[in-house]
Amino acid sequence: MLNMRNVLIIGERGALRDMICCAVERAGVCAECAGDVSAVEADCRRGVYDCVLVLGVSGFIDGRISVERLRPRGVRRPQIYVLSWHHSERAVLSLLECGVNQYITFPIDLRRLCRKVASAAETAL
Amino acid sequence: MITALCVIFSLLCCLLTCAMCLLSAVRNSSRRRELRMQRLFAGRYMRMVTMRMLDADGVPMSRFPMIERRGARDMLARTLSSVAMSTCTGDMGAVRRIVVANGIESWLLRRIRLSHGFQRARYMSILSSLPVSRSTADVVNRYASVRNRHLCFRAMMVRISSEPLSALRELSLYPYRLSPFEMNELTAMLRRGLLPLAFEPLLASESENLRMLGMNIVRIFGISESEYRLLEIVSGDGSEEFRDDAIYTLVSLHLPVTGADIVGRVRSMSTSARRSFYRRLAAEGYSVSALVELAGGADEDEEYVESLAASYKRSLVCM
Repeated sequence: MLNMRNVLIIGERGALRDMICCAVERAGVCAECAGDVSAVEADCRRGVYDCVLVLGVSGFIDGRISVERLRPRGVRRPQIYVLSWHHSERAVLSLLECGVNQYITFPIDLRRLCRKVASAAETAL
Repeated sequence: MITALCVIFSLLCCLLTCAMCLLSAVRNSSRRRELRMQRLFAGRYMRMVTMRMLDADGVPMSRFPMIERRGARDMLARTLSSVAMSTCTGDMGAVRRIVVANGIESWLLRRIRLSHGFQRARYMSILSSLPVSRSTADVVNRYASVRNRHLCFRAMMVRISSEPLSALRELSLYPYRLSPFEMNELTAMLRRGLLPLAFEPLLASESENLRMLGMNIVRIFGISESEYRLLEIVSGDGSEEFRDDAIYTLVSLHLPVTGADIVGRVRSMSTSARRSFYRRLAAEGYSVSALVELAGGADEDEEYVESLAASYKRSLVCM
């Protein structure tokens, strides 16, 4: 338990967030959910979390979420993954250029997602 | 006498008001209890569905707890639907086993038969997102020829869900022109890996719906190799709408649009359609020279495209 990795899931409360949370916990990590970045910003920047999953891109578009709020400059932890229904090349490239580590589109393979999150949590140093 | 009647009438009104307040309170309390139970079900069932999808490989599924309670099957069906819509086909085997073990199919068919209007369409929508059997598809076939377009579309989606190889036949027989929302649903099914379709035979099809779907596939998946086929469509003798759709698809793929056939088609558009096309080109990042070439020497159009390209301030995509 002391070495258990922490994963944060940021997204509106709903079936999708619950599904991702359950799947990620199955990967052997400790998952927490948050509806808003403000409540967890300080913890993110302190490095409490190894990986952050953001559901949807609307937070990035309207400025509520930014990579700087989740991770200090020059640091690779936490890894930031975005899961969204958007398939627009422009949106994907913009997010990756802003510092997002990976962009995953729906529909997803739950087992593959678990492996990715577990791997990201292990390698985040 | 009149006073007595007034008193009696007032008493009756008071009693009626009290009865209505009591009834309303009971209904509200019951509704709150139902919502509380639904939230409880939602969380538990989502966890159980996700766990079973990740763990079970051919393991027989047992019934979910409290499945016979009021609202439980509704919640389970909605949970399975949201999970099925968000995940790929690799996980559908487990969803199918959960559906069978908990009698979701027969429950949904019963709800569809007993409900009307929006509720019926809602249950059909849930059914179409789940992996169902051929017998279920045969049962909902009766809604294939109803006047309600939503039911008609949902019945088609149920049939495609039960037998994906029939997608081409079903879409060509669909009596309406596919709307953008319906196209979106089909594309979502495609992304989940449920529709074995390729764009080339679709673009060459006689059916307008299949051609539209083919064009959509090219756009969504960014298939640049379809350029020659799209240019054939533009230079062909198909409908104007279809040719315009092909041109817009070329723009979505950021391919050159200064060929003779495309220029000819653009110049034959109405002023408003042409300017709408210029705005799309500017938004996609095409250069001023490409727009000017399409404008073809018309001063009014050239001024328009120059100001348009300048206002978008986009980086160059192609010359």
